[in-house]
Amino acid sequence: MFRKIKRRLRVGSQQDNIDTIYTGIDEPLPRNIERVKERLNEIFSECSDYIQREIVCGEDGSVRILVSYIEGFVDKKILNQDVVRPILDYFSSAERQDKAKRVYQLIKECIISNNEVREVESLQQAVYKIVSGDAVLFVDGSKSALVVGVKAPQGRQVEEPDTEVSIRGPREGFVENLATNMVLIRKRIKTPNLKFEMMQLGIQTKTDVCICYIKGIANEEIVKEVRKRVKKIRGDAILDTGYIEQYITDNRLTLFPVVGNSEKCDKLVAKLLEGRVAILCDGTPYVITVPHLFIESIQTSDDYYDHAFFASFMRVLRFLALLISNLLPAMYVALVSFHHTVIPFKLIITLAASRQGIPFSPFVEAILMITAFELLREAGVRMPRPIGQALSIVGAIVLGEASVNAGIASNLMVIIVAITAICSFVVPPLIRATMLLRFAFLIAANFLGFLGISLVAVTVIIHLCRLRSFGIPYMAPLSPLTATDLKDSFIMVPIWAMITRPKILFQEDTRGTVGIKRQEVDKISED
Amino acid sequence: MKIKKLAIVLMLPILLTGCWDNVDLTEINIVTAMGIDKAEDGKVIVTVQVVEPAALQSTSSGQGGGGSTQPKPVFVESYKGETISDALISMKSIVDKRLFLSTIQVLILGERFCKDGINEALDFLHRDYQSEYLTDVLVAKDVTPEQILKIQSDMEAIPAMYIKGTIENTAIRAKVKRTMLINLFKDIKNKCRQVTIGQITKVNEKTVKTEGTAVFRDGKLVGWLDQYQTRGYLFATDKVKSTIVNIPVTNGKMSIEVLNSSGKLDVEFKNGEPAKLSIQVNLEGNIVEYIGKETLDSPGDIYKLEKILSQEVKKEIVMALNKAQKDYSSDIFGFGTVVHKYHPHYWEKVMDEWNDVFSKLPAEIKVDAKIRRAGLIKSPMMKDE
Amino acid sequence: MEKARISSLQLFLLITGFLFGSTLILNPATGAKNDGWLAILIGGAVGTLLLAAYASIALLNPSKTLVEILRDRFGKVIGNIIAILYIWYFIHLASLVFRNFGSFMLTTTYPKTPLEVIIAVFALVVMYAVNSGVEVVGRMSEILVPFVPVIAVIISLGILTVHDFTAFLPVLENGISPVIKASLNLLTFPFGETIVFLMIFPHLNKRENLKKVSTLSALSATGLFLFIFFRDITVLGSHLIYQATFVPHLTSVLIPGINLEPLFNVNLIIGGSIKVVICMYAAVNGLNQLIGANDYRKFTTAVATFCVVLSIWVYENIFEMFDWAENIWLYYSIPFQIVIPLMLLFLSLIKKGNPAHEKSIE
Repeated sequence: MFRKIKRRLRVGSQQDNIDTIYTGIDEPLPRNIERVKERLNEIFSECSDYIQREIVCGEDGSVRILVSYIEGFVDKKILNQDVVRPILDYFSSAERQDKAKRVYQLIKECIISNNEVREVESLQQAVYKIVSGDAVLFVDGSKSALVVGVKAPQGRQVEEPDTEVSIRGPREGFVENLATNMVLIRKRIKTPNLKFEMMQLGIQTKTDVCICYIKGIANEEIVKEVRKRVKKIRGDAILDTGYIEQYITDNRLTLFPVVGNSEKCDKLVAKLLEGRVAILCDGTPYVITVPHLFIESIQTSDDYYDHAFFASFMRVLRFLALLISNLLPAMYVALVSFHHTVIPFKLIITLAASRQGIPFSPFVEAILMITAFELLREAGVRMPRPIGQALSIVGAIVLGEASVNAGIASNLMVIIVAITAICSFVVPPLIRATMLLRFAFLIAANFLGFLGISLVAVTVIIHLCRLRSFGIPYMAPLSPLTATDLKDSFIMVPIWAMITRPKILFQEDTRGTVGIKRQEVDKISED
Repeated sequence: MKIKKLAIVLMLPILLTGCWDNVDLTEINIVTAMGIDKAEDGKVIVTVQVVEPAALQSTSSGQGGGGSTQPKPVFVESYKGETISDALISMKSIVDKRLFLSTIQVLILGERFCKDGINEALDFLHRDYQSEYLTDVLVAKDVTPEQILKIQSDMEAIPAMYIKGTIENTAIRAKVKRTMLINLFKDIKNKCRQVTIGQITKVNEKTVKTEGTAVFRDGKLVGWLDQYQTRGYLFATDKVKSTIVNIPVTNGKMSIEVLNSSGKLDVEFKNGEPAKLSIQVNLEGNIVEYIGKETLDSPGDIYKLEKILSQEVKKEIVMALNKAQKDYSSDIFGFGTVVHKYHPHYWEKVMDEWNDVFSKLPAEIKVDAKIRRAGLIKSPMMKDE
Repeated sequence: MEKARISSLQLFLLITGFLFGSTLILNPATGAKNDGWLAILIGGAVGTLLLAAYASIALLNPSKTLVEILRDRFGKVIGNIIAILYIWYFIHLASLVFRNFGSFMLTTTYPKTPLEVIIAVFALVVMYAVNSGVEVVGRMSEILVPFVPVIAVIISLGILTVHDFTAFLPVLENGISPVIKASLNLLTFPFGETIVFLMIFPHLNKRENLKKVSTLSALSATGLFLFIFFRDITVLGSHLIYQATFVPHLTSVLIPGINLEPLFNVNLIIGGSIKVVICMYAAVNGLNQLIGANDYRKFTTAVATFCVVLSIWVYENIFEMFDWAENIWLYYSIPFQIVIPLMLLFLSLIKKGNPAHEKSIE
């Protein structure tokens, strides 16, 4: 069933996105500047932000230069200062008349004072450079054009990310600009072994995407696999790493994140140093890392900056919170509607009293309350911040209180939903998985009580064991058990005791079979 | 493939409707106590005490306001049937919801019922998956279980909890044999030890008293032990956690709190036949009250007291043993267990007549009492003038 | 055959989990009353030898499954016939576990739910596991099986206060014969059932560990059985052990103040699911090899459905179940568990000759 849908989607994506300018073979630059002008005007027709300026100087205007760029994208001041003025100055004072070839060479080597000068030889490349924010100089009679990097600084400053707040540790977060992000990483890892492999993805957007890893630490097989998968991406647009994530993920039918993402530099650097591969994308502060394993969901960067005792305790607590947020409402429903024998006597009276007069069954009650909570959460997230806060207060206090008073929900249910909600925020990477699993557990609990819950839990565990992230079993190092890597799992040893790098990323059985495994997983998931 | 998917989709609505064993807490009657008795015509009368959670909550919260007519937190219903399960199921015709038995705190057996044998009750309770093995069991003396369950205590809103509280208290004083359902299940078919169950009597409309022990033989009630005999019995069987023993002293009396006690049973064999029962009790206590005129400051005084204490305890044990041997001929102590464990071949021969063999055996009782502390003062307050 | 590999630890946990299986609810040693511990010791010791023998068969026929070994040793025709019998045996085994599981759930917690529903829902989970392949099953065992001893210990700690440590006396009250019978029972259920693992052994990544792993797991399962037996007898006494339907369950509800029954059920679900998954995996893989198809997953649905139907048909009432487990199972299993494997071992030894034999022992 899913296979068919997939095929249909694939056919759909192949039909459109045919663009004359990008799909045609590279056409060489015409030597005649008039011809160039003509072609450019044709390509950039109706582009009001396209600017071109022709400089004619030298004796009897023999030197003709065309400067093209996109308005606002380049820093005009620098362009004038570094390119246009030097050219004008040089040629107005120059005695000799140079051949076109010499002019080009001169401009490139001695006139332009900007450091970032490259050459392009085809019209398509030149156009691409223009739309990516460089200024391009076409010199009459030359078969190549000069690209001058005078990009104006864009976007916001480096600041602390809102999504991942840390109590201790660096506060720098990534920004939308790829170059800035690369600097942020390089700043922390001062070795040429830190590699950035650039590529452009997206047929329309031509987004810069960068695979980042540390040679010698990262598993070569995984790097190769990442490269392969990223190169396979076909699509019009890459607007966020989220797009890439969906293209390269191992198992597409899962609720659990098999690709990690982060906005924090220190976290990303730590992942790189563990041997993971990062993918950066221009235009988004979110960087994704692979392979992403289950255990990473309960790790935070703060853990490593603080004493290992507290970190271990917090991790156990986080795992507990994960369990609670998944299971608590289901447990309650199972207890109240099936397993009365298990409840201690005094509690059963309290429970029964709180349930008295509630018109709904515990299951319906739980579904109603949890849905209401999820709605509130979603509304709060999408609203402008001040309104969102007001909304959550209204929701939490007024709605909860009122529904109890109205006799629609028992006060115990309100408590349970509140605890569940609190716990669900403790492990942010798994919030969405938890949200849906909670309903699955609830339904199972209403159907078969604890037996239902256990069976769903076993199913989830089987599913988790099936998952792989770039060939690495998702539940590693717990299963398959890698004893040395348990040092950084639920219980964390102090930093000074972490002598060895994670071995899970170098498993014998994954070496060399990463690609094959992917296909197998695909096949299983389609069945 | 498609059919499988379709089947799964069709199953979803079933999952959404809770079914079969899904019973909401509001749809059950929480039974806190059950009484079982026999009518004169041989049928079984089952009495249940059911708690009304909502009423209970309102009484506990509305106490300050002092409402005029509060709903009663519990109700008691009885029904007659051929068997216990029959009575319980037939009772549905007079109660509004399904009866839920897991919450039973006390099970009260009627005297008449016990005289006919309690196996019937135990079979049902053991077979039923809902029964709570840690329920306290009591035998009502001189009253029917229904009368006991109908009391209205001022101390607790739920009478069953009140009764349970008195059992716990009395068990701490070692004046009642505390028996739970699981103990009965273990011992009822066991020939090595006879069943004993605590005794409950009604004092007035508001209070009950749990003191003393009902003695069974082969599952049938044969008699009672009073509170002192009960304590002797508990001393011998190592069930005393703490108690107060009053001992006579010259010109007065003294109360000693026993804090530690251990009892050990043994059967001595001679020529392959049991020759003597022996009971060894070691106990430790503190003086808690002394009304008298003697001084109390040397170890010699304490030794004297220890001796009196030993004798007092021994007296109680002898009384209990005499009752068990002479009056009831029932090995409530569990000497049979010792025989079974260490002399299995002899046991095989005597298994069925063990109670009679037991009744005829002489006994040797040793009590070793120690008094450790005397509280904050030494000699009694009442000094000679 | 799948190319998947499992590690020694995973195999160890799989065998141990398999041995716990339904033994957790149906204790075959209860027939010997308070001499059950002796029965467990004897049964465990012989069971360990048996498991070692199975491991030897696997070592003598490297990277071959039971079906292939049977074909090799008995010739194509006879081998195929025996293989079919074995597949039937595995299916039967799976359906028996289904039924035990269902009966237990019905008796203790879900009296009104139809047996079919409970078994079918359980079977869905099992199918998912079987289709995920042996590697995933191995990894699953690493997460699930450690819970079993932990829960057993938690329950034991809860009832620490009510122990009577001389409850297993007197020794050999009824002579040795009930003990022998009980240990035979224990040998065929669960130890002999590990013949299923001849379908799993070829997946082990380090073949040299096979013998060590299988004997160790048999020993540790025996240890846990002993522990549970002593716990139960010291808490319940021999009489109640003999009388109760599901002994360890009874123990778990005795803890004062809190009811740990759900924990006990979790144990059962873990043990039961590992056992059924292994049986069913063996059955579908055997079928697959017998027919020579390329993907065993095609058979899973059919076999699982058959198991569910069989498990519902197999007994009329619960006493048939106990009677079967205690009396008939023994004679039904011996050919599968002892006679044919010993013949296989013998034939393999002859075929290999002495030098090869020594090599495999290294």
